[in-house]
Amino acid sequence: MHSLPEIWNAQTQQKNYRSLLNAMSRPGTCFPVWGCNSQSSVIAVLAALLDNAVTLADPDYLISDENIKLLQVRTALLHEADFVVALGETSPATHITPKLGTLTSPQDSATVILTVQNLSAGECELIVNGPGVNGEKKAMISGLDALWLQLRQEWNRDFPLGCDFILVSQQQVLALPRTSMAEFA
Amino acid sequence: MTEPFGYLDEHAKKEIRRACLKAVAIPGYQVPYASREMPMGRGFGTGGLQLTLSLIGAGDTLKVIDQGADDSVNAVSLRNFIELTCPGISTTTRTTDADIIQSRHRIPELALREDQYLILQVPYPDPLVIVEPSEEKRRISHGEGDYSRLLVKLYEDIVQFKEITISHRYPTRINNHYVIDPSPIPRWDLPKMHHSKALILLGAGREKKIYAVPPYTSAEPLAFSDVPFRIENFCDALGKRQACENCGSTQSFLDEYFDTHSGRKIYRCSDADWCLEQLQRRDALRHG
Repeated sequence: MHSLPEIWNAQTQQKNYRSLLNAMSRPGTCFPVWGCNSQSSVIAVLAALLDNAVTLADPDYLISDENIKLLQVRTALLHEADFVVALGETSPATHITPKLGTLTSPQDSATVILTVQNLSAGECELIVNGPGVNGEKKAMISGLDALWLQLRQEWNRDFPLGCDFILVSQQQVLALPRTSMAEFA
Repeated sequence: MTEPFGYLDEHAKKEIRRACLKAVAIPGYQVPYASREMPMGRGFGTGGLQLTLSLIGAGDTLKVIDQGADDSVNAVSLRNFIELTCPGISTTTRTTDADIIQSRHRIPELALREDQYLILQVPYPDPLVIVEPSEEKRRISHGEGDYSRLLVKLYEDIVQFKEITISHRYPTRINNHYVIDPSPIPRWDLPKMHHSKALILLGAGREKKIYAVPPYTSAEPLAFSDVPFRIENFCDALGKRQACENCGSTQSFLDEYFDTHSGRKIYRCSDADWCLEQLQRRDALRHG
């Protein structure tokens, strides 16, 4: 019988959720993605969070049709999706804004998941502060276009409206919730 | 058919997990979620229980407390249920040994660490409910960070009683925006929320809301510059701090009892693990 890779296992998804919760609680700190030996880590992150109750936009075609079926997720346009997955190294389209929520329902906003090359030994220093950070946190990142951070700042200007970012490298994850201030040194 | 790990099905867990991530990303905001039916009545900690079940994994160590005690009916029932449905986890009564602490009405006296999670069971999540019956209007006030009516309520207390009379569920502003009901913890515990090292998750099962206080985030009780917030003081008429009858601690939140034989008022630590640790420390000093 054909068995699915480890990331579709409930136990692995629980561990990956813990990493995501830790990452969202402690912005700028890297946490491991589990079970991604044969699958890309971004699929592992999506598998921990997505199901048929939410929608996904994939403008860079990072997720195969087979994985979309396994995730049981519905696809949507970028400005309507609950989750957006995109390449961090390419410049984002500046004319499309992901869902930012409303004043009374700020949770009805997109989570933007970006794939990057490296989160702990890259060439660019990302400085993060805000809730969850004791003072200031620095992360060495490669493969993230600076325009993402500029747009993020614009999208998160009117708290509580905004969107939350999750950066995923080959084996690690780092989050930037809307309350975090993040900029390259 | 066997029950899934953690009783809840994976779809339910994912929905709670998504709500938790949004709750952490928007500190203090009450994220609505589809609270599931649990095999116990709503109001018995089903909100906290669902948070724990979606978070816990094999290898974790769990502590469950009710008003500081590990051996009350509510704590024992919840702990037994989680042990039964989560094979591979361990349980403890020691705060220091726990990865996840689910609590009702107290935050442990021992300062929590970065690698620990505190889950609080919440009966009423919205502090504005005492001044505004419409949820729609409350959501607008929360979004705008407008708590003027709540401040008027506190001011009325001062006019009438010369102090703010809220003893527990004291409204607390998180990250300078949302005001939360921090669950029925005493005032004594509120300073522990401020810049806590551990992530604090709050779950209201009956009201179907999840909210969070991320680590290193401000949690400031509402107060006035000329009437500052103050915690309970356990001093007698002469100003001497009462001590725990068991361990002698003068550093903990105390429960008040009446000695049935002498009729004397006595005090004991509310946090059972803290009390035991102080006793063991005292014994160790005595014997060696």
